[in-house]
Amino acid sequence: MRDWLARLVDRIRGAAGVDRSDAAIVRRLRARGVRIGEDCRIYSTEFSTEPYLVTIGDGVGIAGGVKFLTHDGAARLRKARRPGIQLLGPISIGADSFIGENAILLPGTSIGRDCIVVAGSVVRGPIPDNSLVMGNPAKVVGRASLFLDRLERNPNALDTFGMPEATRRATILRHFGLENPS
Amino acid sequence: MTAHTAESVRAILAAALAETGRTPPKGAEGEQTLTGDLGIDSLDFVSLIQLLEERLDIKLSDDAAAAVVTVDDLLALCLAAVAAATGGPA
Repeated sequence: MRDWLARLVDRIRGAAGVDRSDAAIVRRLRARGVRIGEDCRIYSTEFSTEPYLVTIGDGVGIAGGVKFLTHDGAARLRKARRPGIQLLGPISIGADSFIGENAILLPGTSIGRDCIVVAGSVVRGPIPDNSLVMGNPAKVVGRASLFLDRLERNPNALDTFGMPEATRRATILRHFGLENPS
Repeated sequence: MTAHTAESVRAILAAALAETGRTPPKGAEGEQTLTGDLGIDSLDFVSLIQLLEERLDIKLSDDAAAAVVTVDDLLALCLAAVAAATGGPA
């Protein structure tokens, strides 16, 4: 009941334009029972009906639309034999990992530390530390550390985070040669 | 460990590059850049390195691999790693 109420309050706050910052989301998720480490940035509120089965380590980033599925709804197909059946599974994410936009984490997913889950991936089972994971079903395609080393060398990797918005916008437009939109 | 020659390393690299789906049908040229010319992005690149490490039975350091610019750079890196792993030139 407490979780139901917390989610309802979440929705009302969201609809009313109340604080939807990542810090506020973390506060509300903790209130719903999600175990969240320090220094996390979380933009998803899709923590299913058992948020208390989700554990998130320090320094984790979770993009918008990520779904944490802590139960398998297909179990309901056995309701004639077992009316109360639910198949449940905890989900954990190790420290300093990043989960990309709209990824889906299935029951029992256990992601190691320093991992990157690519946007839209559907993840299940154990994922070793320092893995880059993508696809449906998601597979480990290589080392996250190599991805980050390569990303840093990308000419479009700009140091614009934290800039005042006007400066940031001008810097980005200049970089892409789009200063004078027609 | 399979003994690799320079030719077998070249062939494995060519096959791995083809599997990225980013190379032209006639194959990549040595001086072509992976990112600019072939359009191999960071995700493709990580998969490519993983494939090469598995097929050549080598381990490339993140620093050295991330610094690769051209197809020839990658070939040289693989040849050096194979040589180091087998104690002689590939």
